[in-house]
Formats: sequence, structure tokens, C-alpha cells
Amino acid sequence: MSLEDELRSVGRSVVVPPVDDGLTAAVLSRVAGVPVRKRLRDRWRMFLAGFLVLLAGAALTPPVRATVAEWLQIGGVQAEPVGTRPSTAPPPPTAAGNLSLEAAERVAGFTPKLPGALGAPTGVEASKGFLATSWGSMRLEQFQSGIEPRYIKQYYDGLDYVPEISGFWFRTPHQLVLVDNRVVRIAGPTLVWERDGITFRLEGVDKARAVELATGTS
Amino acid sequence: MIGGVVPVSGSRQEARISLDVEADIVARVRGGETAAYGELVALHALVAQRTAVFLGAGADADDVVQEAFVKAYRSLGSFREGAAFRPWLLRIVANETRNALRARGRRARREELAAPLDVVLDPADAAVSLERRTALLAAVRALPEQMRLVVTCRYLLELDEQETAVVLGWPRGTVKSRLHRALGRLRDALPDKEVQR
Repeated sequence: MSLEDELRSVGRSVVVPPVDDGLTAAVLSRVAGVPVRKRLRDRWRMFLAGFLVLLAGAALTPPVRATVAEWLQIGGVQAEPVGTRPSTAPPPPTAAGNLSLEAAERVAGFTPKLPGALGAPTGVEASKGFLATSWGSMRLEQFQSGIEPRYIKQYYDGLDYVPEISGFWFRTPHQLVLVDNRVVRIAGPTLVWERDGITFRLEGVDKARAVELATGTS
Repeated sequence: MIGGVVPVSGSRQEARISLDVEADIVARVRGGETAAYGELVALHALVAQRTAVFLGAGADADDVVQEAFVKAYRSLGSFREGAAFRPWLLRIVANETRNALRARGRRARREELAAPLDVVLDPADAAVSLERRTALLAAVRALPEQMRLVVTCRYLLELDEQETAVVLGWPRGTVKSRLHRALGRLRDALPDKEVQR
């Protein structure tokens, strides 16, 4: 018997716990009312689907009613739907500091991850647990997620789940608020995602480019 | 509709589903017939469960599998028509398992943790002695991660080369070369093969 066949025999003799009896019913009840075909056009449903996964992943809640969608937390960013939205946003502030990345890392207390495709940033700012870098008009913030959110993003519509990085794309201008409810500024379309306890906000590029850069951030 | 299901081997319950049957179900789901997705779930639940367990989901396997099926449904819009559903699904299962392992790492240490290939072998299986199987499993577990993954997919889970490439997200040539090196390592690590009947 070849080594390959021996390995196959090992695989076959592994005792796997039986599939949960309620699996099919549970899956169907969770996907019910979310038609696949309309998914791309119907952003509300898309948001809801992403929300369900996030909720279930965090707390293993029972199937959530299709009407629940009050808030959503992505690392240190909390998204709250609101009734209106600003129509335009100024470009994101440029990180003006000229700290070296090493110095910024010491101030922030963690090692920043940067998009491999971009090279050295044109500006670097840091405070404890927080680091911002700019490349021209593009701004990347990263901060330690913590238990409480650092930002609240008040969005009216246009929230897309981005499966490549398990993040969310805020498609429209929205208010960016610190948790103490001071309005910080109006932010433009932004990609938000979390990895290894660090939350990332990337602003100032279109969605396709943002996702590409996020995927290549390490 | 299970007309196209043919068992692969006597020892495995698992079934290989014809692409036609699958494509038909996917088309119906995309057409708005959500309940048809239940057929896909039923057809692939076992291999999804096996994959989650082999990759280390442990006690979280049920949750991982459910999560993966929900995620797969949501992404069905991006599923390429005519492609095989199984490897596409298993890739999602593998990602979910990794997420579960990572989340578990953050949880309290007092919980008993499963690791990849933390599995129980059926002592009664007669094709290869239990001793030899235990040694093989230990050798696979000791491999570097990528080699362990490729051996797990290709031989323990018995996926073909193309499926392995899809599940791991590697080019096919990479699967081939890593598999080759992994087998070399296993041969070096294992005691001389016992004489088989």
C-alpha cells in the first residue's frame, strides 16, 4: 500500500461527530427572505446579511428577525443608521506629522500594518493606541479596537459588506463621531475592517482600490 | 432530487454529486427558490463537517459549518456558473474554521482547545493498523502548516488536486510541489512501512 493510500485510510477512519440534525433548518431560517439574485442591487438586504453573520459570529445568537438592524460594530467602529446624511464630504485630513514609522510605532504602542502596494507614507501621525498615515489624499487610520468603540459612523445608506476582508464599505459621506458625541467631521466613502484587534479605516480612494489595498495590507 | 448521487466508497458516507444536479439547484436558488438551498446543505453537510473537524474546529464544528453555509448562500451571487460547489464551499469552511480558531485564542485559556487534526481514529478500521495510522497522523500533524494543510485536503479529505487548489487558494502548481515535499518529509519521518496484508 502506498503512503498516499495509507493517508487516505487514516482520513477515512477518523471519527467525525455527526452533523447537527437542525443544520438545514437553521441555515434556511437564517437565509430566508434574502434572495440571492437581488442581493447586489438591494443594499439594505446586503447590509442585513452581513449584520447577521457578524452578530452570529460574535454571540451565536438565535436567528435574528429580518427587521433588526439598529447598529453594527466593526472593531472599534460602531455604525448607526440615521435618517439623513450629508451630501458631500471634504477630502480627509492629511496626516501632517513627519514622524518616522519607528517613532510612530513607539508612540502608538503597536506595529502598524501598511498596504504593500503603496511604499512609504507621505505623512505619519500617532497617539497612544492610534496611528494615521497619508499617501497624498488617501488616509489610513489604524487603532486598537478595545471594548468600547472609538468612533461612531452615522450613515444613512450605502453600507456594503466586503467578504474579502470581512469589512464594510461606507459608500456615501457620513458623520464621523467620537464616542463622547462630539462631531468630528464629515467623512467620505470609507472602508472599515478589523484584523488581530486593530481596526482600520481607509478613506480617499474608490471601493475597488480600497479593497485591493486592504487585502494587501500586512 | 438526489438522483445524481453516487457513493465514493463503502467506508465513507460521503457522496460525490454530479455537476448537473448541483448547477440545477444553484440555478433554482438564484431564481429565488430559497428552499432549494436546503438540498445543497444536505448534500454537502458531511464533507463540510469533516473539513471543519480536520482543520481544527473541534467543538465549534457545528457553528462553523452553519456559518459557512449561510456565508456561502450570501456569496452565491459571485459563484461562477458551472463551477463545482464543493471546493468553493470548503474554502469558506476553511476560512470560518480559521476565524473560529483565532477567536478561540482570544477566549479564556481554561477552555480545552482543539487543534488541527485533533481527531479520534476508529480502532476497528482494519485496512491499516491503528498503530501505523496513529504514527501517520502524528507525522502529518508535525508538518509545517502549509504542508499539513495540503496533505489534509488532498489525502485525508480526499479532494482532488484542483479542489485542493481552490480550497487553499493556491495555484495548482504550488499544490503539487508542496504535496511532493510533504510526502518526502513524511517518508523521512515515518518508520519503515510495515508489511501489509
